[in-house]
Amino acid sequence: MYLLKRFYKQPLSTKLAIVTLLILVMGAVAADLYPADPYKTNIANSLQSPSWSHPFGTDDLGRDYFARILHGGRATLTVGLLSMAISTLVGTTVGVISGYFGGTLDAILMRLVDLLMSIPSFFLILIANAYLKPGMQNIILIIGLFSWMGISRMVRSVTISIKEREYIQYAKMIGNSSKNIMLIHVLRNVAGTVWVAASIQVANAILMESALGYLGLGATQPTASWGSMLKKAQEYLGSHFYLAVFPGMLIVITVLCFNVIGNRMKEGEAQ
Amino acid sequence: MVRLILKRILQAIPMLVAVSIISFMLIQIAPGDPVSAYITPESQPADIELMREKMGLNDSIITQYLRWSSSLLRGDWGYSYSNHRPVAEQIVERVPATLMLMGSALLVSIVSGAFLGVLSAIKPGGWIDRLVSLGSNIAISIPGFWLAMVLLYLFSLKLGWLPSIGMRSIGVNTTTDLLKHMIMPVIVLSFQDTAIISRYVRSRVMEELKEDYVLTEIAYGAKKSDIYFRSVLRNSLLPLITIVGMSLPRLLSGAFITESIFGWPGLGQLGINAVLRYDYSMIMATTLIASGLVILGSLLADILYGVIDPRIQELD
Repeated sequence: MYLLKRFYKQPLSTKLAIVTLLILVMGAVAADLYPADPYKTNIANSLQSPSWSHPFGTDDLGRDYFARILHGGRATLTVGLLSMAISTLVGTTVGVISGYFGGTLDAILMRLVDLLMSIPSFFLILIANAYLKPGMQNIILIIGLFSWMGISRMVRSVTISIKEREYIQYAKMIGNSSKNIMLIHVLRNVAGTVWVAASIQVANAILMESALGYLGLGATQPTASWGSMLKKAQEYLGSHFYLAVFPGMLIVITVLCFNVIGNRMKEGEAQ
Repeated sequence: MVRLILKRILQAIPMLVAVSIISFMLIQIAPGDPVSAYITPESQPADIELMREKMGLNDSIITQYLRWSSSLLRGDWGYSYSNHRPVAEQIVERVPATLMLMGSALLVSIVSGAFLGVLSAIKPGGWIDRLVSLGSNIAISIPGFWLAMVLLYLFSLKLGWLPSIGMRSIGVNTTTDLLKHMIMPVIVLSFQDTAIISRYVRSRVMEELKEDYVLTEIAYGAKKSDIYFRSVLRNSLLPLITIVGMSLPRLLSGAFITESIFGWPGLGQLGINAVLRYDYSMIMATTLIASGLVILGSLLADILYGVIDPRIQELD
């Protein structure tokens, strides 16, 4: 009930974004309920334009494109959410520790962040991905581990601004351990910042994954993500443009939703 | 001033060294053997060993790093494992194309971003503002490579207006031809930054409009367009240098993909092909050059900021 009330108060764009995301997530979760098999090839039926029996048409191997989109969405969303979890966890931990303790530790960690940020992250991820065995787990890990730096900077600055507050000084004085103070008080205060960063991080991770998939370094065949479907679609750009339209539009819509929600949360934070 | 420049240069050097260590290590921990490129079915184990020895792959990592970095400083960047041409030569060939692409994209995004930002700040919440805000939300959500695919489909395959690949048509050496080849890559590359810059300019202009001098100008009867696009915009643009400096890594990452789609003969295409071919020396060199460009770019941004706004030096 509380959630519904809060939802009702949101502006139209945020409502739309939330509903669309729910639909996309449901599609990804329930992909198996759709009768067509995303892996079953049927060459005689290849490259059919969208029709009643194949709402999004079929791909070059005659596989139902709608089924592949549903399963591809599952892959894309999984990568987005899990790699966000990794980068948020690492970023928040580094940010809180760096901001709370300050001094040499802070200086070292922040120089590390500067350093990692000066190497174009996409290239870093590309290299790591090319050398590890291709597969979902590695992609999630690599994207997560190479995109926490921005979050850690934001969390650090919030931590610095709150650690001098009286109640934290008091908690220190009555003998709480640093670990407890960080876990209970600091974390509660940086939570808002972390949520904003997390939502935008999902968007970035999905963009990153789709670019990797497009270069042929994403999910391995026959599993597809929206990005790797686009790699295939490029070969048929002139003749079967719809193959590029569906996965591309869905990436844009998904990323847009996460960005809209992230921005809305940022506004909420600022108030 | 000199002190500020020296200080920033001194800060940049350890970063460059650290980047060189990272790019070197990245390749060391990677599986796959560069010797494998030379092995033929007739190769004897002794030949392979000789090859390893000759390529210096049997020395310790520190020796390899020191040898690699000292020869880097001497200008010897080694040979590409895949086409056996000197790495430095290939990079020198490619850097201008990438810089041209990135420079044009930056210029386009600064000009259009500033324009859109001012337009939407004139009446916050108005239809222009909402349209620009929707547009910038969409712009940061579009994967660059997909935008490239859509543009290619529309303007090359369907309408036939623009060439789909490369930097120049074969045998043609005119500026018009070059510009035609540049249009789509520049659009793709400038899309995101236009959105980011327009948002930034919007909020800066809105703050600036609250200043007293704006009121004075209005009271003196200055033209509206003069107020917005001269005084206010000029004061809002200064911190943009920092934004641009910060956007360099993203821009360079974007250039990697954009170049490989449009067959633009730049550093990005070279780097991606090197990764796909396990071309060790080339990967190390492109990582180093790419990061070097980013570090150098933010160094320049800082110094430029200091030159334009002397208050920064006093703070320093």
